[in-house]
Formats: sequence, C-alpha cells, structure tokens
Amino acid sequence: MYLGQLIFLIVGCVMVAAAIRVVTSHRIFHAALWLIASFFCVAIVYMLLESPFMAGIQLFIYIGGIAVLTVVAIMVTKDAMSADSRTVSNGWSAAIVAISLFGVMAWTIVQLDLPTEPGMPVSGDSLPLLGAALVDPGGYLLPFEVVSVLLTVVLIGALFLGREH
Amino acid sequence: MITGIPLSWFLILGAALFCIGVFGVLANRNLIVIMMSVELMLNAVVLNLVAFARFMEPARITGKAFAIIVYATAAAEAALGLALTVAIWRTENTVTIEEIDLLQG
Amino acid sequence: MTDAWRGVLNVLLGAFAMAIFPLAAVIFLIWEARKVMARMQDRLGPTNAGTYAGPFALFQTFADAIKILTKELIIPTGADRGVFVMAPVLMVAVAIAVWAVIPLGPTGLQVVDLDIGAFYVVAISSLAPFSMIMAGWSSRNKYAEVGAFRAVSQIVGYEIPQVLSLLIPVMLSGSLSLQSIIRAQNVPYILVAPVAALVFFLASAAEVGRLPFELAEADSEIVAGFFTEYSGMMFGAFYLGEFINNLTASVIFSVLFLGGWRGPWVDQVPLLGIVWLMLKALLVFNVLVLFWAAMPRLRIDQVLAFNWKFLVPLGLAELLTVALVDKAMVTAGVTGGIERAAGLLAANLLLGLAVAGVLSQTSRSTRQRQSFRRPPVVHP
Repeated sequence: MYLGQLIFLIVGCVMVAAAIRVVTSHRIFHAALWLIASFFCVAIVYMLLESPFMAGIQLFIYIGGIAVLTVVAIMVTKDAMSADSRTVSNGWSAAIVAISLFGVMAWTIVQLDLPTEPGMPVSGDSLPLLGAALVDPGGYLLPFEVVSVLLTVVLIGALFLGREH
Repeated sequence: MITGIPLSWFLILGAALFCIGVFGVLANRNLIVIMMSVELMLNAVVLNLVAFARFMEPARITGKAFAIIVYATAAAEAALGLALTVAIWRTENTVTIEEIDLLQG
Repeated sequence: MTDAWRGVLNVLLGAFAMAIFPLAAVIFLIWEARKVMARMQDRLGPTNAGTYAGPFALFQTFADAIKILTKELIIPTGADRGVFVMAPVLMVAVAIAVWAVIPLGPTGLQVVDLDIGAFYVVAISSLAPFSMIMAGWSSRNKYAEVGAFRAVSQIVGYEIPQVLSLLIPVMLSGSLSLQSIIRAQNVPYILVAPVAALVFFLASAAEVGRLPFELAEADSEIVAGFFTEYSGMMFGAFYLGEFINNLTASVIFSVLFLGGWRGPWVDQVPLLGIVWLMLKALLVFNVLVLFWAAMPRLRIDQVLAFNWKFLVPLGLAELLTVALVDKAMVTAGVTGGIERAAGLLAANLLLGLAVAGVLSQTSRSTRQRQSFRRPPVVHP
C-alpha cells in the first residue's frame, strides 16, 4: 500500500462521514460545520490530485465564501430553526433512491477501463497555461465573460433582495 | 510521492458525495439544508472534473477551466439562493419548504 | 517507499519547527507591544513581575502564561460544548498554518515553496472568520453573537481590497510563489506601488482587528465580542491567535512590499535572511501597535463604509493603473528594472494625489452640508 493511497482512504472516509452528518444531523448549525469539514477534505483530495490551485480555490470560494454565507443565513434565520427544527421526511425512500443511484454509478465506474496512472503532463507548470486559456478567444474567453456577467447580475439581485424595505 | 491512486477511486468518492447530496435534497424540508446538499453535489462534480483533468488530459487545462466556471456559478447560486431564503424568512417567517405556500391562495 | 516516508518525516519536522517559530516570537512581541504602548501613553509598562522577571520584565509574558494556564476553564451552561472548545483551537491552527509558505531565507528556510504561495495565504486566512462564528454562536450570548456578526462582515469585506492589492506584487513579479516575489524585488515594491502597499496595510490591519478597526471585540460596547464567555487558556488561545495574526500580517507585508529576507550579506550567510525579515516585520508590527495606542475606535457603519466606498474603489483603480502603465511601458520598449519602477512610482504618486484631491473635496462639501443642516443655536 502506497502512502498516497493511505491518505486518500483516510480523507475519503472522513469526507463521506462528514457529508452524511450534513444531511442527517439534528442541529442545522452543526450541519453547516460538517459541511465545512467535508469541503476541507475535498481540498485535501485536490492536493492529492496535484492541483494546489484548485485546493486554494476550494478553500477560498467554498469555505471562505459559500460556507460563511450559509452560516450567516442560519444565524439570521435563527428563530425559524430553533434547536431541533430539522425535519427529515420520507427518509427511507430517499435513502433507497440514493443508495441505488450510488450502486449504479459505482458498478459503471468499476466496469469501465480507466487509467490507473496519470498521463504525463505537457509542461511542468500548468497554472500560467490555465490563466492564458481563460482569456484566450480561442479558449474559454466566452464562458469566462458570461460568468462575469452572471456574477454582476447576481450581485445586483442579491442587493435588491437584501435591502431594507 | 502521491502516485498509485487509480482514477476509479476518485470517481467512486465523487459518486458517494453526489449520492449523499441527492439524499439530502430528497429527504430534507429545510431550505438551507437543501442548498447545502446542492453544494455537496456540485463539489462532487468538480472533484470528477479535476480528477479527469489529471488522468485523461495531458495539458491539464480543460477540466480545470470547467471547474473554475462551475465554482463561479456555484458561488452565484449560493449568494442568490441564500438571499432568497432570508427574504422568504422575512415575509413568511419560515424556511420549511412545505410551509411556503404563498401561491396556493 | 522509505524515501516517501522520509520525505513526510522531513516535512513534519519542518512544519513543527515553523509552528514553534511564531509562538516563540509572539512571547517576545507581547512584551514589546506592551512596552511601546506604555511609552505612547506616558507610562513605564511592565517593569518587574515578581523576582525572576528578568531585565525590563522581559519574562513578564511567561509569568502571565503560567498564571493563565492555572485558571479554571469555565464552559457556560447551555453552551454547545464541542463547538465552544473547537473555536480557539481553530483560531490558533489557522494563524499558524499560514506560516507554511513564508520564506524566511533564500533556500531551505521554508516548509514548502508552493507555486501558489500568495494565494494559499489568502485562502487559509479566509478560514479565520469561522473560529469567530463558532465562538460567537456556541456561547449563547448576545454580545458574543453581535461580535461574531461584526467580525464576519468586517473580515469578509476587507478581504476584497486585500486581494486586489496583493495582485499587484503578483502581477509585477509574474508569479504567485512568495519566494519568486521576493527574488523579483530588486526595488522593494513599496517604492514601486506605494498606493497598493497602503491599501494592503489598511486591509490587513482591519483583517487582524487592530484599532481603529477593533469592532469585533469593542469592549465598551459588547464586552469582549465573540470571546466574551471564554476564560483561562481558551481565552489565552484567542489572545495568542490574535497576536500571531498581527505578526503574520506584518511578515506578509514585509514579504510582498519590503523585499522579504533581502538585505546585505544574505548571499554569504543565508541565515541572516531571518534577521532582515524579522527586522522589517518588527517595523510594520510597531506601526500597528502605534495605531493601536493612538487611534479611537470607529463605528461599525463607518468601518464598512470606509471599506466599500474607499478601499475597494482605490484598489481597483490602482490595479488598473499599474496594469495599464506597465503594459504601456513594455510596449514602448522600456524594459529596464529601474525605469519601469520609476514610471510606476510616478503613476502611483499621480493616483495618490488625485485621490487626496477627491477626498478633500468631498469632505469639504460634507462639512458644508452638515453645517448648513445644523439647527441655529438659540441663546435665551
């Protein structure tokens, strides 16, 4: 067993356990904290995939942005979700759907002939290439600009929704 | 140092994360928990994209460029969704999806 | 495989040494800050703590640490125990984790030279609000909760100008690695882009919650903010984390704008790098301490308005100015390091003058409007 495999197994188990706690924990604030734990584990998996930039983005956007927003929303709407306001309805049927979906996916993945070793990278440093590709008209300039328009629209929309009446 | 993990492991981990998210969306009635489950599913998708970028693609760019755009979209979704949640809480004083019945008359 | 394990052991040892370093430095810095603040306020500060406090009460902090370790840890009834205990741990962990990428010297004196070092610093620092949210929420205390809300709105907001101004050293050196940024600074970037340095310094001061941005723990308004309910060493951990954050902010500022470990004779003796870096960081740290001693506390709306209406637009304008001027100079054929630095400095000074002009104009008009609105004083 390689060291990488050992780290992967530990981190994977922690991630799945934290994710299960997100959807089942009784207190919603705890669910948000477990969500952060599972995001952090995803960042570690990105490090195992040799993408430190993606790991940084995961920390910065998901934990520093989205999770902070979620926690603040929970604290603002606290009256509506006092201690045990979590209500899980039709849990068993949902569990059956989710587990069978996972079974189908896992079976398909095992059947496929997937590579076990990474392909050799073209160059040592892919970060400048990625940056250039995002602003290259022949690359991803259009989606990049569309996303920036989307973010502007969302900024205005959130300001409109959040203003004092 | 970090070799020896086959691609299928990452894909199965992503699948597990995605299915937990599916369970969360189906089983919960709290708007904020549903949004958190959607974030888990998006995270699983990005995990697959980054894994494919490393294993299948020599330049390692396409998958990451997709991932960055998914991240921006996820941030937009979270910001707007939570703003809507707080707005609903202000008018309805609830965040349980079955009690939000403004349009039922 | 044994090589892999040895590599892991090396990294772990390096991480351990690097974690000890800020903790040891802070013990000295707390004493230093108290002395400097005392001089600012016309006091002597700590002079002797018991018999063994050493010259100038140098060991005062050790005595304080021993005292605080023996105090009782009180967890309030109704608090969420697990989250309550985790919050100070997270605070110190995040404060120390940043040190993994800080280069103390030319080679080797760094745990890991990530090629995204500057981004790593920002990403790890964005975890800091969570310890405050966890502390504020789990205490079940209104003051703690208000403090947590203030901390979050302030820190998340000030991240934006911080990142905007951090992009300028990254852009000028063409790398995200802190080591490469230092090596590119033949002229320290504070002389190339002083406006960016100013924005970064103010944003960092707000991030670490130093006066005048000390709203999250404003003791005259909300007792102690998010750590109102903490006692003993758990309070000590927050105090320690805060001081480490101050030191980290100073060190990052020195790395990005003051040339990091660069100085005379570093090429011959690499260990001198630590001395130069720490001297520069101490200078920045003392400016923070002087702020602390001299400034009054702002109101929360003033702090947020200062960020959104002043620092963010200034950061954006600075980013555009530096990018355009640099690009124009490169296309015009100016490639020498000194010439480019001089051109950028001139552009920055022009931008600074323009901002100062706009500021004085707006403040004058605001004053006039306010004096116009003021009801006439009626003398009976």
